[in-house]
Amino acid sequence: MSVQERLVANPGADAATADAPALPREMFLGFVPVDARFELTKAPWLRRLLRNRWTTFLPTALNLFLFLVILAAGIVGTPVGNANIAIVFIWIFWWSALMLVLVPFASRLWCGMCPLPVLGEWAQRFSLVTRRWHRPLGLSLKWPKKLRSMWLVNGVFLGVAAFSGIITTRPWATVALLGSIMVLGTGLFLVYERRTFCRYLCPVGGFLGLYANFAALEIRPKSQPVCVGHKSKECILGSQAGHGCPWLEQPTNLKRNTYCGMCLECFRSCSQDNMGLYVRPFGTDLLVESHRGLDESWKAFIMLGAAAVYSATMMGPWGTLKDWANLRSLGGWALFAAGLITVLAGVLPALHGASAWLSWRLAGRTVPLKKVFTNFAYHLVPIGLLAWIGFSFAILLPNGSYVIRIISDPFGWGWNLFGTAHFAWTPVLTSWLPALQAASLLFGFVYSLDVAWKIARQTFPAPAAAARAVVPQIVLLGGITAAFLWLFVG
Amino acid sequence: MRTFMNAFSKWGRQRLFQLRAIGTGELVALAVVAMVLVVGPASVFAYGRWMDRHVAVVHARQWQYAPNVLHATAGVPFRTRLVSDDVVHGFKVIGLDAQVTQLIPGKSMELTVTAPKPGTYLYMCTTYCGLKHAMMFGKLIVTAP
Amino acid sequence: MRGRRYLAVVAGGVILVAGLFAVRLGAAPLPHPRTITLEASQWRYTPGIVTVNEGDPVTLIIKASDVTHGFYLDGYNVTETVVPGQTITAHFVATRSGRWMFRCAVTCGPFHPYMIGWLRVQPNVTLRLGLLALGTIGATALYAAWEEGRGR
Repeated sequence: MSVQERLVANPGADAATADAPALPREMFLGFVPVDARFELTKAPWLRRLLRNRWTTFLPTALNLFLFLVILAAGIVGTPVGNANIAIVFIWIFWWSALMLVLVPFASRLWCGMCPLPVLGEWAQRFSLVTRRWHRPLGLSLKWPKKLRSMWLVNGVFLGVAAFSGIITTRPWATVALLGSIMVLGTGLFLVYERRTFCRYLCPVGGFLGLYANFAALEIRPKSQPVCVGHKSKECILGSQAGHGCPWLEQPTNLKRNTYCGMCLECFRSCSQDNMGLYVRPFGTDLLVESHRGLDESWKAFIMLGAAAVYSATMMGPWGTLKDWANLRSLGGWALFAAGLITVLAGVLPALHGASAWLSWRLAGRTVPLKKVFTNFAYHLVPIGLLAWIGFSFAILLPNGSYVIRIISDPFGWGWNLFGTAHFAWTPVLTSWLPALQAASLLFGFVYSLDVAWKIARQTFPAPAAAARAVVPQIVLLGGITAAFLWLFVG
Repeated sequence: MRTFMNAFSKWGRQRLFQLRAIGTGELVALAVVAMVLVVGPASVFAYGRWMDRHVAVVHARQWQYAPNVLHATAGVPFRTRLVSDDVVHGFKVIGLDAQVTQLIPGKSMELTVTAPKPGTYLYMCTTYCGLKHAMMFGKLIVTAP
Repeated sequence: MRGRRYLAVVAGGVILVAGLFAVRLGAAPLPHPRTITLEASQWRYTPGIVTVNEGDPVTLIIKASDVTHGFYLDGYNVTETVVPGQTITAHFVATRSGRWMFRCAVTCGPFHPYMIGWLRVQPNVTLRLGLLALGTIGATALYAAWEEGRGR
């Protein structure tokens, strides 16, 4: 394979690695090549569609409309959750859609059509579908260097999670949360540059970003030599045709999906038509070594732990836990919040730390412990996402039918817009639920094992050391999966 | 005078230039956003008001009705929309054939009450709904036509 | 090396299939009728976990202690409404093994969607199979690591 061909086959690879001797192709699950890519933008109609600003504008406007309906429903609609569009659309429909479909198959596509930042972005750009060639409105300050990580997002997520019992059951609370995110976001768009808010503050963005590393879709430059030879870097700085990357990424150097919000701006600004949309195997970005960090490791712990705590609290038989989450008493809630934060940000990291320390010892301490700890956190992503998928099945199958009646009576005011307002609550396929959940977990386990082995080889180049190091990880992943199996079907 | 006219026409030309910078596409997009931000919510509220225009909305919650005083005219059908805000309640007007055995939370029930004679009728909750269920009642004041 | 790896996978598969039969080994207890009293209150069932054996005819006696609740059993399609003061009796035969959630079927306040209890129908074949699969996959992974560790 020539250097050119290998780079096209593995977009995102450095020019440096292209000179390395040809290795046997790495495979996921033994049969899917890690560097397999299928370019969707080979179709000219898709390229035109992606370059058109209406492609992003229309879904966003629709979502903004829905969001305003939800906002109104939270303020003046019925307080009964399952009769209010705010609860039904957000925690049943949107959350399940994110976990089951959008994240695994479309990366951060939601971010490209999210209504929360758009008022701010439209104000900042002073336009809706036109590229105006002037300084953006607002102060366009740069985000402080010290805060350029996921740590802030982790903290915000933990704070929100402590109130998840209230937020997911009270329309006013859902709307208070999302409304504040929108107001704060809009304000921040007029203070900081571009999508600083989306990148460093949005709690949804934190886990979307990490789990997008598992997604089967990516945006990457088609050909590295074209970027290397093209000096004007319009994708970063902007041009008459398009803004510079609002997510503060460098499309020429895009290696992971973590901060690519699929806004498609780089398709518009690139004068060389060098941006492509690719289908790829699950989990490829988990193998990218650059930009790994403890902040993302902690995000992995937090999301995995949240799946467990939510399952236990919401899907479990333990009434006291539910009372605590429901703020029946301040003391009870404090126990719940403390327990949640301890498990997510303390216990899981400690367990992981123990296994990482064992791996480090077994492999001969040749690599810094911090690197071992950080690297090995990334194989918690497949099992984490699949645990969330299992949890989402338990929400969607029993309660998905509420969506049918809610479209006819979104506020619980006795309307019947489409004639479906009296559609009774109908649990669907609940007899499949245990099998679906077990299958999700097992798939996540297998994939996590595969990623763990590959990360072990990356961290410890000697195969013998890597093999010894991966053993504690196999045990940890087995324990985590067994615990979830018991929680879901035991 | 001349300088003033020159300055004004310059301002006018600048404004016209900016307007021309707003292409048709942008105007359509602006219309869409205006629909979403203004027309959407406005029509939702207008529809809501129109649907409830001749209806008295009564919320049942633990452990009171809101409103707990209703006014009607004797002999004239009085339309109500009953809805529960939390748990299953009941509704019965004592002395009249007007009752809803189970008000499922979130599901509105339309009930038309026609009181033949003026007076004060009590309405109360007929499905046990917790500690203060027995104290959950309101007054329907019927006046002569 | 690759041959050995495939051997490991095949061996794992054989263990899995053998296990599929093994999960039902051992004398299954004779089905024996059970009567279980459930109290439904905001927002839990008491007891929260009910255990029966596969094939047991089950009689549920459900009472609501504070407001109107409901009862729906996943996988069995038993649906009831329980008004305070009334006692509801529901019958079903526990033909499907595993762990099933039962949940409130009548909106009873904000935490209604989380008002859930567990019915365990023993033996929990789904869990056993899942753990068996997990063990097999884990053992295969450990074996593969050991093979790598010994050098190709």
